[in-house]
Amino acid sequence: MYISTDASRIRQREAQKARDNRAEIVRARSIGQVSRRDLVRWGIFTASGLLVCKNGLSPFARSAYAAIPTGTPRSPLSGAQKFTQRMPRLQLQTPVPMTPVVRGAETDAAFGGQFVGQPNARRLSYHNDFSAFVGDPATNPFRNPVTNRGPMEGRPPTEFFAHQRWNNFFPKAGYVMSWTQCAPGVKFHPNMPDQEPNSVWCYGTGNVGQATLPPFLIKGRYGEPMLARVHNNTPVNREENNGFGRNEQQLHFHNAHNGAESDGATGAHHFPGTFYDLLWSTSLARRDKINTDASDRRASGPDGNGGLVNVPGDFREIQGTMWAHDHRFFFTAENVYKGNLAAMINYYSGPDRGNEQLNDGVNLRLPSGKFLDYGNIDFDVNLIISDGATDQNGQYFFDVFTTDGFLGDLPLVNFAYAPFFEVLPRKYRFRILAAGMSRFWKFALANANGQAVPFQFIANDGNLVVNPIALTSLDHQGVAERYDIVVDFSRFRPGDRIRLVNQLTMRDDGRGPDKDLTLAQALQGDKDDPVIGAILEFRVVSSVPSVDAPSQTLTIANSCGVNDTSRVPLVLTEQIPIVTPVRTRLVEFGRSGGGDSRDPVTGQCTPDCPEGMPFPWSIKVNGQDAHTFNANRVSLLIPKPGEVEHITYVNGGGGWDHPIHLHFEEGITMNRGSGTIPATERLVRKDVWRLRAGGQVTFQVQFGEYGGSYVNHCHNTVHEDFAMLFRYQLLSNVGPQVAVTPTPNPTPDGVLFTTPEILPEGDPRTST
Amino acid sequence: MRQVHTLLKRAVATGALLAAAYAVASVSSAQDATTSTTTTTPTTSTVKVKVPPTTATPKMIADAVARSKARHDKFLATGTPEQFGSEEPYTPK
Repeated sequence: MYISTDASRIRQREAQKARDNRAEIVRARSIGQVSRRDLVRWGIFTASGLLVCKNGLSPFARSAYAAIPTGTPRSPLSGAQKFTQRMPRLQLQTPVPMTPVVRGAETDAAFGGQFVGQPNARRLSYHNDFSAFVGDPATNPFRNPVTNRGPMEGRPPTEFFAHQRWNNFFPKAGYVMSWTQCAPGVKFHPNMPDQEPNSVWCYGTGNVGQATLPPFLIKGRYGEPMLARVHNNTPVNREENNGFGRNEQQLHFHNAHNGAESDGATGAHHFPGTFYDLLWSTSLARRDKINTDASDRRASGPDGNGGLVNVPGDFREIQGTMWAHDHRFFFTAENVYKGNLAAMINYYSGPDRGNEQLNDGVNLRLPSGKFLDYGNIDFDVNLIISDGATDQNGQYFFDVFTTDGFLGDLPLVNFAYAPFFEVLPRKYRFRILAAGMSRFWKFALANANGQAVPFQFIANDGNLVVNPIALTSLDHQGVAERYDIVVDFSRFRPGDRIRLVNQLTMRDDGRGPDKDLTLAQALQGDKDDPVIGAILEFRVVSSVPSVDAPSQTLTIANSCGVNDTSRVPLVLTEQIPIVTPVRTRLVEFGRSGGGDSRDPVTGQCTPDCPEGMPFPWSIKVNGQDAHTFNANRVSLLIPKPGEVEHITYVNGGGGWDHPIHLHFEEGITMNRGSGTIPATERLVRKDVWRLRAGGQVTFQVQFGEYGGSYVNHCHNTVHEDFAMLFRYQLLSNVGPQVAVTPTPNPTPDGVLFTTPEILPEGDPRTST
Repeated sequence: MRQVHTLLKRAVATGALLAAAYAVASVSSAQDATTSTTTTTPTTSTVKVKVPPTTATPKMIADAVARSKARHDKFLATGTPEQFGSEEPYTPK
C-alpha cells in the first residue's frame, strides 16, 4: 500500500499526485459536482463502480518507474521517533447515579451528578413524544435542538425500539458522551501537527462540541445496568469531513448481551444534533435458563464494598474485555477510523474482579491492583492497537476508494505513535484490541537480545479460557478480536526493555495476511510496511504513579515479589459442553453475484448508501443464492430463544481472509474442518472468527434473553461497508419481539419503517 | 494524468449543472428530505418465494468447502484473487 522510502523522488511525486487526484474526486463528489455515474462514464471508475487501475490514479496501478503497485506516499513523521512518547491510558469515565422518576405508567431515569439537566432517560424513545406533539412544529419541545428538524432522540419510535427489560435492568449508572470534532492539541506524537477539527471526530464527556483522544475506558460490572447517552455533535453539513467520514452514527457495544435497540446495529443511525440512549444492561447470558434464582456466587458482580451482587445466568458466559464503535451501515470503516471508537469497556464480575488481593473464594485475583474494590487498572492495561495514516500535511487520511482493505503505515497504540509504557518487575494483564480497519496482527514480546518472552493467554474476545495457555507468540489477531494476556516482568530488572512486536506481513492490497515472520525477521522491520516490527516498548522501572489511587506510588517494595499478590489460577472457568443442536446452518462469505443491496425499483439502499457504490462482497445461506447487504432483508431467523444451533462459516475462497463477527452472542469454537485449530480457539467462546483463505469454522451458539434485529458480518470494515454483512432476527417469547422487527429508515425528519423480506432458507418456520 | 485532470476539470466545470440533478440523490438525499415523520404499523408479513432447506446438511457443507478449496487452489496456482463476480459458476465434481 505504501511505497518504500527507497523509491526515487519521481516515483514519490507520482504517487503523491495519484493521491491528490483521488482526493480531488472525493471533494468533487462530496459537494455534488460529480457523481459516480459520471466517473464511470468518463472511464475513471469501472462499470462495477471500482476505481480503474490507472497509473496516476489508483494506488495499485503499475507505472513506468516500478513494477509493484504504485502505493501511497508514506505518512510524514515530522521527526518523530518510535518509543519517544509515553503511552496514554484510556480516558476513564466516571458514571453518575440514575434515579427513578415516575411519570404516569412509566418510570424514567434521571441523571445525577454532572449530568443533571439532561432530559431523563425513557423506556420509549422521545421520538414517540415528538410524533405525538400537536401544535406549531417550531415549538415542539422534543425536536432536534440544533437543526430544528426531526426528533431529538435518534432511537426509533414504537415498542419495538423501547428498552427491553427496562424494569429488570433499570439503569443505575449513567454516562453522557458526544461524538464530535477533535479539540486543538490532538495529535499522534508531539512532533506531529495538530489534527484539524474535521480530521478526527472522537468522543468527549457530556454534551460537548470538542473532544480528545485516546478513547474512553468504561468500567461496567454485573448487577449495575448502565444508561449511555450518545450525542452526535459532528458538523451538520456533511461536506465538512476533510474527505472522509459520515456525520451519522449508531454506536455498537461489541459484544455485550444487550437488547437489539441498544446493540447499535439495527440500522437506526442518528443525525447531528440528536442523541441516542443505549441501555447497557450488564445482563448475564442464559439468565432465563440457568441459575435463574441467582444462587451461584460465581454469577455475580462486585458490590463496591468487598461483597458480591448475585445475578441470574451462567457464570461460564461472563464477559470481560469489550469495546464500542460506530456501525453506520456502509460507512463504518471511515467513521471508526476517524475516531468513532468510543471506548473499551471492561466488565467486572465475581471471578474477574479487577482486584488481585481480595480473597473470597470466587475472585480469581488476576493482575490488576488492590486500591479499589473492583476495576483496578494499575496492572491491568487496555491496549488499542491500530494502523493509521496521514496526508502530506500530517492530517489523518483514509482512502475511501478501496474495497479490498485499508492499511495504515503508522503503528498506533491508544492512538499514540509507537509509544513506551513503564512497568514494574511483576505480573501485568494486557487487554489487546486489534482495532485497525483491515490489518491482521501477530504479536510476540522480545527482550533486548531479541529473544521471545513467554506469557500466558487468559481470554479470547473477552471470554476467559478454561485453563491459561503458555505462549511465546500469539495467533493471528484479526480486526476486532481481543486477546487478554498476562506477562510476568519479574524476571527483568529496572532499565530492561521489552518490546511488543508485530510479526505478520499483510498483502499490499489489504486483503489479508501474507506471511508470518520469525521474531528476528520482524525485529529488523520491513521497509515496505513500517507497522511490522516493534510497536510498543515496555520499560522496566522501580516505581510508577498509581492510576487507581493517584496519591500513591507503586514501587518494587510494595507491589513486586511477595507483594505481587496477583494470581493466574490453573482453572479460570468451566467448559460449556458441545451438545446435539436443534439445527445446523451454513453461511458462505464470498464474492459472487452482482450485488442486490439496492431496491430494484427505487435504486436506493436500506439504509441509504453512496450513489453508484459497488457491492463486491456477498453472503449465501445454506448454499442458496448470494446476497449483498440490505437492512430490509432478514437472512437468518432464530424462531425462539434457547435453542442450540451449530453454525458453519465457510470462506468463499479465492485468496481472501475475513474476520467474521457475530453480534450479541458468543459461539463456542468447535472445529475448523480439516484444518488445525490453535489451543487459544479450541472450545473457546468467541465473537470474531478469522476464516483464513479457504478456511472454515463451526461453532455452537444459542440465543436468548432478548429479541430483535442484529447483524453478522466481516469485520474487515472495508468489506463490511461494501455489503459483506447480513441481518439476523431473533424472536422472543414475550413482548413486541415475538414478531419480526420492522426495518427503520432514518432521516433527519424522523424514522420511517418498512416491512422486511425474509430469506426462506434462513427461516426455519418455513420447513415442514 | 493529463487525461484525469481534464476529466476532473470538466467535472468541476459542469458541476453547477450536475449538482442540482444529483445533489438530492447522491450526496445529501437524507439531509434534503422534506417528508414528515410517519410510521407504519409493524407487521410480521413475509415474502416467501420458495422453501429451500433451512438446515444445513453435511453434504451442503462439504460442497461449500469444495467450492472454497477449488477457488483457493486456483488462487494459489495463479496468485490472482477472485475478482468481482467471478466466483460463479462453480459445479462441484
